[in-house]
Amino acid sequence: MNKALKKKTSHVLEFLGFTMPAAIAILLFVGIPFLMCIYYSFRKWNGIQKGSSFIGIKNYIRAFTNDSTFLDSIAYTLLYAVLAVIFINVLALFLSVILEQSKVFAKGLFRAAFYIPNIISLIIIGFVWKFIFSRAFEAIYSSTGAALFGWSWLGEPKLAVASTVLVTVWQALGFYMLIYVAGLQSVPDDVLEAATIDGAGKVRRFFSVILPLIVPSLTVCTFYSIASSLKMFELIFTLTGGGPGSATTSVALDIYNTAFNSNQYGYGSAKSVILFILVAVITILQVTVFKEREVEA
Amino acid sequence: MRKFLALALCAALFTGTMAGCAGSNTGSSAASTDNTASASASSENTQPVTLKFMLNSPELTDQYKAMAAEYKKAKPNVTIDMTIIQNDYQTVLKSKLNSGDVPDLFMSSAYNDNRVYSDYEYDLTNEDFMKNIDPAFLKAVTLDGKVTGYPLLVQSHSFIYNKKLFKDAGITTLPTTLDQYKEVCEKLTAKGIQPFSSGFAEWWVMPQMTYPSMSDAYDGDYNKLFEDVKSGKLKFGDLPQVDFALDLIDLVKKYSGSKPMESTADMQVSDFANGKVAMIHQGSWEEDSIRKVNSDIDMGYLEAPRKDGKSVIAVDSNLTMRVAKDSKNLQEVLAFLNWLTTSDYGKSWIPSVVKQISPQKNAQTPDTQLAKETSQAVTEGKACQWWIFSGPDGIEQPFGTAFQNYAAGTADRQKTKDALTKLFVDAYNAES
Repeated sequence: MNKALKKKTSHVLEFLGFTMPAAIAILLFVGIPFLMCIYYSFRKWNGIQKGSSFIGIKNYIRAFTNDSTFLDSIAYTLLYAVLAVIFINVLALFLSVILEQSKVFAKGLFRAAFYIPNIISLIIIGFVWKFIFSRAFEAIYSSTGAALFGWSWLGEPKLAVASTVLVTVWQALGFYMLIYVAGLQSVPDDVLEAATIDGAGKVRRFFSVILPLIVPSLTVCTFYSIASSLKMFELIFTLTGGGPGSATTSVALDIYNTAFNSNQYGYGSAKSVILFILVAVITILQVTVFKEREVEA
Repeated sequence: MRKFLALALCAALFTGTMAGCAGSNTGSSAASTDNTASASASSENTQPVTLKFMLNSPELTDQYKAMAAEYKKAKPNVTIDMTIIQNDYQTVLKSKLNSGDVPDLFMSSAYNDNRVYSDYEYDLTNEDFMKNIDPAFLKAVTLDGKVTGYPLLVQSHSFIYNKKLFKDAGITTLPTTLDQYKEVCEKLTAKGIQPFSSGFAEWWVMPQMTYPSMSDAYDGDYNKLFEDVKSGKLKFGDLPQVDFALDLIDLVKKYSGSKPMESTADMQVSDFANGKVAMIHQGSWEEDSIRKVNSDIDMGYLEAPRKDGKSVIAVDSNLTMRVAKDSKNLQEVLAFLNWLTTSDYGKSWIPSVVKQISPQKNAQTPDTQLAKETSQAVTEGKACQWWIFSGPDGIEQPFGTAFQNYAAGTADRQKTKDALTKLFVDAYNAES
């Protein structure tokens, strides 16, 4: 064996040595459960008894043809995702452009303030906002009489949908601002100066120069926000519990209800495979479209 | 050197990943041997044993601990290792059962859970101590003639009312029909008192409120009722009692303030305890929480109205202890249940420590208002079973959601009835 080959094998071994622990962990806690989920999606099983029976693709057929709750939950999830993705990205970009300017008063304080909700667990956020919407709003309403606070934010189906989006945006803003600020900082000054000399105003500079240059950040942020809002569970679980009725039941929550409350584990698994495909298709499409638009300065 | 470092790092990372798999057994058994080491010396039954219990109802945590401590005195070599959870009880229990880490004793509901856990539960039919349980409460745990579990305690639920607020509003006769409930609500509203806190944000409170009022379905022959639902002879939504239940929901919603869909069980308890509302639909298990907020409150049960004119409160033994049939410590678990049923402390644990009604024969009545009123209702024949649980498994949550959709205005009457019919069909399809 020559020396070069020996060195190469030792590199490969080292590489394997460092990646194996992570790979094994992912295989154990993501890979195997995922394969088991696919396996159970073709079976009828209540999650408790020892035996389960193979029923082919009946679970999948049922999900699409005979389960209005599931279809409603897909509709809600898509609506929620569209609203959340738009509001999160537009607001985060807008705020980071403002906070990026060096003259803004108490810049650091504002950045921290926007980021703090992001370090609190979504479960806690759900409980806190539930309290705000019911008890705190009630108190504000009785002392000010402002109609806005008298509305049943979590009890009126349409308002409840708005509430879930509102809290999501409030919570997620800081994280996406972080990425946008980093993107804005990487825009080279000379390009901006050139644009200024060419007579571009602030707005023109933003849309014609800055925006095309930060498409990579945009790709990451939209990808993240789409994937996480399609999979949203914890916040909705604690904030509205999917209610009133099933008005804010997301697909993930519907899967939980099916598998653990209705004891139909096999059917729940089939639904989660469908959710996986839905998320995968949408995000792959989004990334391909955005990747094409990335330019370099 | 560099190579060695890399290798060492890899090894460290690797053991790190694997450490979690080291099985929880070692940890807990080490702890328990510590506990029993001193005790075993004094006992003739020297084998130290640890029994693993999976319990729900965390509101009883202190009482469970008191019981375990007392059992330690009676049987020093036995240690009870309790896991008490509520929110995710079902999920955790399921993962334990599936991973082969079956607790020696676990809790579940009665009725349809008798079948759900049939692969795991020990048949208690021939155990001597079961003779001390009131046969009325064995119904709930009997499946195909076999006693599949140990009924722990008797609970009841109906409308709970604040006696003082009723007096303030000049209400002298308690309501028993839907019309009388309406009158009462109007009188309370006229006095500026909000009649109900609905609890409609909670999927289990809402259907629970309607079960007593629907208990006259099929004149109480629930087995026949569910046979017909299963065979498709009866669409559940076509029951005339469903209409009655929807009327009741309309009434409660109307008199539950401005945000009826946002009221949770916690809010019900605090609103009721603070005298903000006059009535809530809740059960005997909340009396303790209510008293923690307001210890002097004077409360009682109202009977829930029914279509046939009778009025009832729901009384049953739903909390069930199940013995794992493959447990290594089967005899010890049975000895524990025997102690809970026949020893002096065991017999008085439910009535005087838990302060709820015991399912045992000739048990003392606990000294709490709701329990007393429950016993009274049972003697007067005004109690109904928790009949919905004789139906298929896993219907409660979709049932609740269907009613919530009705109350929130997203589904009309016909749509709600169709949803009820469908959820029973789905549940039976999933079962067979």
